[in-house]
Amino acid sequence: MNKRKWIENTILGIIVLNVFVMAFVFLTPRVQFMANHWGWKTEALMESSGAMDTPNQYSETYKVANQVRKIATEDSVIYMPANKWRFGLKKSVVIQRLYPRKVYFSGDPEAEKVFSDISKVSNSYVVFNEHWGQNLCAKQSVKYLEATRVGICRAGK
Amino acid sequence: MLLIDFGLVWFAAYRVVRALKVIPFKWERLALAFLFALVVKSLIIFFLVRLGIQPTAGLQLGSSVLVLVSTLFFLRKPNEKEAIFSDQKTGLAWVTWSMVGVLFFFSIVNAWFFPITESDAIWYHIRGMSFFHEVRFDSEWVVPQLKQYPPFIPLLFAYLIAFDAGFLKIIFPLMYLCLNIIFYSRVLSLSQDKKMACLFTMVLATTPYFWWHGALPFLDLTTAVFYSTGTLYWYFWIKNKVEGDTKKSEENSYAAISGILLGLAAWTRIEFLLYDLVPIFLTLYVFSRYPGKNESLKSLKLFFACLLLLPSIWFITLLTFEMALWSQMKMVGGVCIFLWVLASGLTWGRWKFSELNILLALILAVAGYILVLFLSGAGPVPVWKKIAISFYRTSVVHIFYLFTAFLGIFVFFEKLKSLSEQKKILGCFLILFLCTHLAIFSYATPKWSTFGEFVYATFIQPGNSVNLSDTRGMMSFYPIFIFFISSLPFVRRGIINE
Repeated sequence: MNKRKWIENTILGIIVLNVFVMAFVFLTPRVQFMANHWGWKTEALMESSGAMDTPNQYSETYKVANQVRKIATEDSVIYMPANKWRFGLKKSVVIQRLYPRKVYFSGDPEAEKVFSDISKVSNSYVVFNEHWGQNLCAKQSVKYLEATRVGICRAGK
Repeated sequence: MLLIDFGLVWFAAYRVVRALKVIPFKWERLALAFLFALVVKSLIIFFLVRLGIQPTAGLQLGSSVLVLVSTLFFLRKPNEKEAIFSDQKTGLAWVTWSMVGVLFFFSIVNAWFFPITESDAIWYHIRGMSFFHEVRFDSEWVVPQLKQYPPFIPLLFAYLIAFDAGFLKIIFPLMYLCLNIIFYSRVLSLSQDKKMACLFTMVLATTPYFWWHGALPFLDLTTAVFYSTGTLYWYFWIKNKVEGDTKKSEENSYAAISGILLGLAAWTRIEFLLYDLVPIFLTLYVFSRYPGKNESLKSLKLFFACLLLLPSIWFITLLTFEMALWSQMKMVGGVCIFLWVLASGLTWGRWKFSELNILLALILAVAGYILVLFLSGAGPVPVWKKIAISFYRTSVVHIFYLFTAFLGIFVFFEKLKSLSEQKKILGCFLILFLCTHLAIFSYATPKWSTFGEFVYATFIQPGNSVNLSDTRGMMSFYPIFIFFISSLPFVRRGIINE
């Protein structure tokens, strides 16, 4: 093989191998995922497991946040358990889905100030789990979110 | 509305690029104008938010009209000279652009289909929403570290939110396309051969990591586009300077374009101000080695001003935040101040450096860095271990760029000593980039504290390290590396029948 062929073939080989890896690792799994989930709404896709190359680590959080989003209006204030209460939800995802609703997590200094008397906070909601917040909803009607051990109640008028 | 608004700014940016008179290809001008249009949009929104004015669609449309009118008023249409390579076969060009087109199409479909659910990207989305709704940069809903990141991507998200466009990820596939167009044009400009340009563009376009990030909403592809294209234009500036056959206006145009693009890299990821030290150092080296007679240094002034402007604006904004700044941010801010002092000294103070001074400065910088590393090394991981881990990562991270990294074998067949001066400088650029990468990640606290965990995450569970910030940062290296390989005489002789 002369030098000319060798160099050109090496470059073409690199291109072919790159295409092969791209198709095998990224394109095929993504196309498969899209084919299986075609027509799904954005909310449903957020709650799915994600494509193989970018698995969705926060599908559980999206499930909770999307349900709270349907209940609480955009001008509401929401009080949530912190992770130390085994809430296990990603803070950023909760804020992303509930924005522009104001979301506070228990234990945050700002939250303690705002919710010192929760009944006085207008249009406020409490999201609770089995470890935190049930007492705040003791006198309110409670709605349990689907497929989670999390509930929500309206605390302030 | 969004298309009209962006069209106005794009056309204005196109007129600016055309007036620079150094971009011979229409597609390259359009791609570069697209990047500049994004900058203009980000700056309009930035200043509106800074002034406490909500960047509504109507207001933005008005600003875009103003931008266009000002370019119509101040810039005249130059005589366009389109470079034509009509005698060369175009079959391969069709294959190349069909391949890039298909990959771009897949990228667009992916970006449209998948919502933003990736860890850091969620915060960029929140920042974009808060810029638009709260009209402030320091929203209480954003964690302190992310709040201090430069605002470019969140500003673009705010732009799309203002026009009610749900498809926020569209920026990234377009960035991927622009990178390929500019890369192709630069290789074509240098080699004057379409076959060379096509082959190496296909290598870049098919590198899986680049395509992957063309559909992911992180900062890194955008940074890579700005940094690598900025470096390619910088190379043409330096090349002309070394060869001594350039007009002043061309020199100034290249200096301004490269300065803006390198500054934009830092406007997207602030640590790229540290990577910008590489072209700055080499520019000083070239200016000390090839001092022109009665040199006005206008190109150097333009280069520094364009490069430092955007990151400086962000540092000034950070000073208005009512919060403690991150120590790394303070350090990069210190580098920015140092660069302003250096730029002022060089251009207005007429400081002169000899080649020896420049080399001594490099040695002192390395020694100073090692000293700082050991003085600040009281963390959970000992300094020697951090260096070892960073060295390991900088060496093995290339496996994620797969077969493209194999282009490096051509270096071993080249007579490096007989390379032209400018190609040696580009080679030094690549080595210094890797050294800077090593230094940055030796300073940062490693994700895992033991060496074994990194080896495991590289070879056994690569999914854990494929998207670490050091792997992503290397994206800025590869277009320059591929360009360097394409410029080697050995490779050229092997592809073109000379």
